[in-house]
Amino acid sequence: MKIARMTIHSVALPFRLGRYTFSGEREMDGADSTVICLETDCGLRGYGEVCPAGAFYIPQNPEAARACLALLGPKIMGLDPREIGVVNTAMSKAVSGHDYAKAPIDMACWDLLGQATGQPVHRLLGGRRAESVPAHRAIAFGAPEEAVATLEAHRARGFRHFQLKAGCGVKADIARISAVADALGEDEVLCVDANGAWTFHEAMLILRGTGERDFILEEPCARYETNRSVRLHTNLPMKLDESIDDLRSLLKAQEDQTADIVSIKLSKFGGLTGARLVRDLCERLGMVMNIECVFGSEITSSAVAHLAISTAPRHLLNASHYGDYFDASLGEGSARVEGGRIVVDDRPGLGLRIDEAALGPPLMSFGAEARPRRAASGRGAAVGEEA
Amino acid sequence: MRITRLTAHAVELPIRGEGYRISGGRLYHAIHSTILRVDTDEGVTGWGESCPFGSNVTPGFAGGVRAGLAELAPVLLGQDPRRTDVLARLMDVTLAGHAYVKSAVDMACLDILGKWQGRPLHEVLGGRFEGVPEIHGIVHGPDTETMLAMVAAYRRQGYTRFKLKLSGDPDRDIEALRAVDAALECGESMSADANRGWTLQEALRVVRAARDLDFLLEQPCHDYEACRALRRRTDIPIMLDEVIDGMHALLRALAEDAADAVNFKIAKVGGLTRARRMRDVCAEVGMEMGIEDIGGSDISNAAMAHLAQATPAKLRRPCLEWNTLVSRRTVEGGARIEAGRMAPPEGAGLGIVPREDALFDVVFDTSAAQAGAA
Repeated sequence: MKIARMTIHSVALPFRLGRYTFSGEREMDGADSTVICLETDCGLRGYGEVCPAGAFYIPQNPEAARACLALLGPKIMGLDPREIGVVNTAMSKAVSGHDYAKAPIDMACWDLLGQATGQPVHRLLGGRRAESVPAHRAIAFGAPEEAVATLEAHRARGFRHFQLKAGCGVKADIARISAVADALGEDEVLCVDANGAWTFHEAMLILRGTGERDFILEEPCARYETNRSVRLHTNLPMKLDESIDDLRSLLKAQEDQTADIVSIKLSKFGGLTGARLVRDLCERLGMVMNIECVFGSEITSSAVAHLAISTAPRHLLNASHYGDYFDASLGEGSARVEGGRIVVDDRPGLGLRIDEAALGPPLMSFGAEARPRRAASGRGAAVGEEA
Repeated sequence: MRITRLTAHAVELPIRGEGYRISGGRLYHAIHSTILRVDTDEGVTGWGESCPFGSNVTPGFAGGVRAGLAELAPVLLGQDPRRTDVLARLMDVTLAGHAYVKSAVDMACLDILGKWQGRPLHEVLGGRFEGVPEIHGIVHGPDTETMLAMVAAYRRQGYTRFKLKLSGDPDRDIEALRAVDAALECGESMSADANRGWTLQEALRVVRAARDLDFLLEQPCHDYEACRALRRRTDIPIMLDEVIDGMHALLRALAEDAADAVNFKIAKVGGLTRARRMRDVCAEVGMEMGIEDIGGSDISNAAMAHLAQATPAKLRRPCLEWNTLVSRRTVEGGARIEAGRMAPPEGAGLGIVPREDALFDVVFDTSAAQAGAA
């Protein structure tokens, strides 16, 4: 089996609830996703995606991802997509860094490996470890009452894990954290995510101001070292996200015992292969994970769900599913949210049924023109001509 | 003063001869530069260049430069280009990471600042230190004979400092080190760059086999930790390059005494503004510095020469200039390269004017974008 063709698609995903705001006056109205389709010489199609939050959130730039994929396309033509290690080596030889831009190719290879073997990706990643995993829901900036109202709305739909975005000033943060923490039920989990917005001093004031309330503190300050200092001053559980961006920083955090929980965003680690490695290490090292990505369509949500469902439940805090974030759909994924929990079916590969009309014509394509589609695959019409 | 327009030009820079070889079988026949023009409402124009070396040496590739510049341009329009620290911060909150993209903007803004002050950039960057910065004769090739021929050719041009690009194969590299060392004449010296090509075990083999030779070994292994381990087990001086990707890495290497010298390529660390801060730290603690860039042509050469000229001579390692490697000139004149040394241009700012034939291929122009929107 060989990779015969790759198409790159740019897909705008507008937010269903309008503008999304987080610390540092950063806001956005939608996400700029890049989807790739790898087609094999036997007519299978595998999909992958990278969908950063603008260019300003973590070092991921949507335009650069597409430019990088254009560079990688010719390097992976003719490779066997089932030999994912070989594909990853070809990518790392071709391009230094930019793991986020390699993630969609890695993801699509897993999809193809699953289809070729007739197995769901979660089985290839170690096997199903749970019937479902908890999903978490973000609570964006707003007054304390608004935050509590959002919490209640999420709760009414079955969610028990909440992530409150913080970083709108010491007093405002104390009021919002206190209001939401006081509204929590016994079986509910609150994570307070400052996205690195606080100084050490502000973090101390906020921790003092919120008293004995119980929550997980996420990425309070901008630097790893500052977060480690915060950690030494609190007994709240600490979750790190932005400051864990590769294997080395993860090992450092484990050695220093800075993080109880780490956020594994697939794109940060170059896709499912890198994320699986980190997942396995976390299990062995006794760390707890939140498995997610930045944003994404059904493709990313499915990939996240396959990794999460194959992760030991005691090491998994929760996972993300982006199904109701966006007013756009690329088709059907294998994961859905039911009563605040993510369930994944056992269809082969990532279990996607992509609507190729929603993908639109490719921005770029590499390799041979598509062969006629096999009727049985049920994946819609053949890709259109190059744009 | 306000920025009114940014124009980016794609320039292909062919590599001379049979191509440029570095460890791991990496071979380059051309590199792809982006030359940035920044115009202001006071009629002062600045030039910058960012040119990743291929896409697999340091993180960066030409498409990433152009995509990143498009992301940055809207927020740069209307800013005062002389406030280079403010702009560095603004670029960081607009585009996370991707330091190599920002270098072209920073270089062009410093060019403007120098022109506005009427002073050459090395004066703006702290002032001229004694001597003229040295440059390396860059020695690479498929076999030891080719390397020895290159050393001889450089020598005829007056070079006394040679930098060997190693293959990553310890046996071949030991042979090349011994052969070049034996060919050196009085007053000549060499450094050797493995570009992360060896495992720690291979690096230990090389330093054992070459322990009687006098050379500086650059970036032996892939990871910082492996280089640090090697440094503690050899008395051959170690220079770190790829793993020193910014101030944070520099501070760690200093605190852990992991290097005898560091190489901060201008675009690798995010531009001259950031390279200058790292220079200041190194100067303060007495660390030797290699001032280079990740890739480029005459514009990058000028930036490199100005920063090197503004670096204490005793701490200044030889630069790597581009004209011995690439066959295309992008400015008339520029840095003066003679007898193994590179003097910065004397004009204000970078002191260069790009050749028109380097500016044909416009990949990005804010005024076209504005006209399109209007």
